[in-house]
Amino acid sequence: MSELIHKLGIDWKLLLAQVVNFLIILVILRFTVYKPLLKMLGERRRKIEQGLKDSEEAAQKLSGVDAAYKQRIAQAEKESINILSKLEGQAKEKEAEILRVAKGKEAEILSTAEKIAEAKKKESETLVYKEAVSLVKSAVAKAVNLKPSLVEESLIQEAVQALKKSKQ
Amino acid sequence: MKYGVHIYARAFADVIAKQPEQYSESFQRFVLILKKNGDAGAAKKILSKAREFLIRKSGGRRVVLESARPLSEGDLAKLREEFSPRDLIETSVNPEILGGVKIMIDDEQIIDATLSRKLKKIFT
Repeated sequence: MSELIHKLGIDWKLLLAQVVNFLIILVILRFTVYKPLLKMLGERRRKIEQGLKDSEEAAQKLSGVDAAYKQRIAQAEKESINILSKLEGQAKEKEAEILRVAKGKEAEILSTAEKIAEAKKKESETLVYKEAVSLVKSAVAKAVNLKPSLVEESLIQEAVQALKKSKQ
Repeated sequence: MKYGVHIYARAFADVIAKQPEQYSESFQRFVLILKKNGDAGAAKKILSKAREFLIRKSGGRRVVLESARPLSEGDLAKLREEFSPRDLIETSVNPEILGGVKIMIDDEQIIDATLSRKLKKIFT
């Protein structure tokens, strides 16, 4: 065995020194490279996990926001429907009011027109009546002028009777 | 006018009533006074009013007979019969009354027996 080791060119002392060197390097590397590397990897993992967690939370929040958005949209739609129906009701009321006022005005205009027509009718009737009276008076005057005694006699008799009556 | 128609008429009527026999002289003097006062233009009105005063003083009335055409003698006589001889009867023509007669006594009483009134009554 010893011969074999000798033939292989292994020097125990050198090997031991190399092992010691290796161990020393191992310790140094452990403290200077391995641990910071592990720490860095742990940190990175933690960050990735945090990122995933945040992403999940964001997704959850997003879905919540989406639901709130949808709820708001639904609410807005509901409100807009309410507003529209209210406006429709108001418009109908306004329309009814306008129609009522228009009908009132129409009735008023008709009444005024009827009154004017009635007044004109009365005016023309009065005019015709006055002309007829004037015509009759003129005819009577002409008839009386033809033979005044016919009228005069009875009228003077009437005057005499009235005088006699006033004396009593 | 210096004085009113009524004042002149009453003064003249008083003078005539006191001295009826001196009517002509009083009348001339009165006309002179009117001329002097510049009121001769109203002489007709004054004399008419004075006559009215005299008639009233004597217990008579002033009667105006208004007709559409001059009254015939017969109609006038018929109407005169209804008044006293002391009444002063005047006649006037107004074609607007168409026929009949309107009698005004002392501007107080009116008897309207005219055709125009009858027609008015029919058409009102």
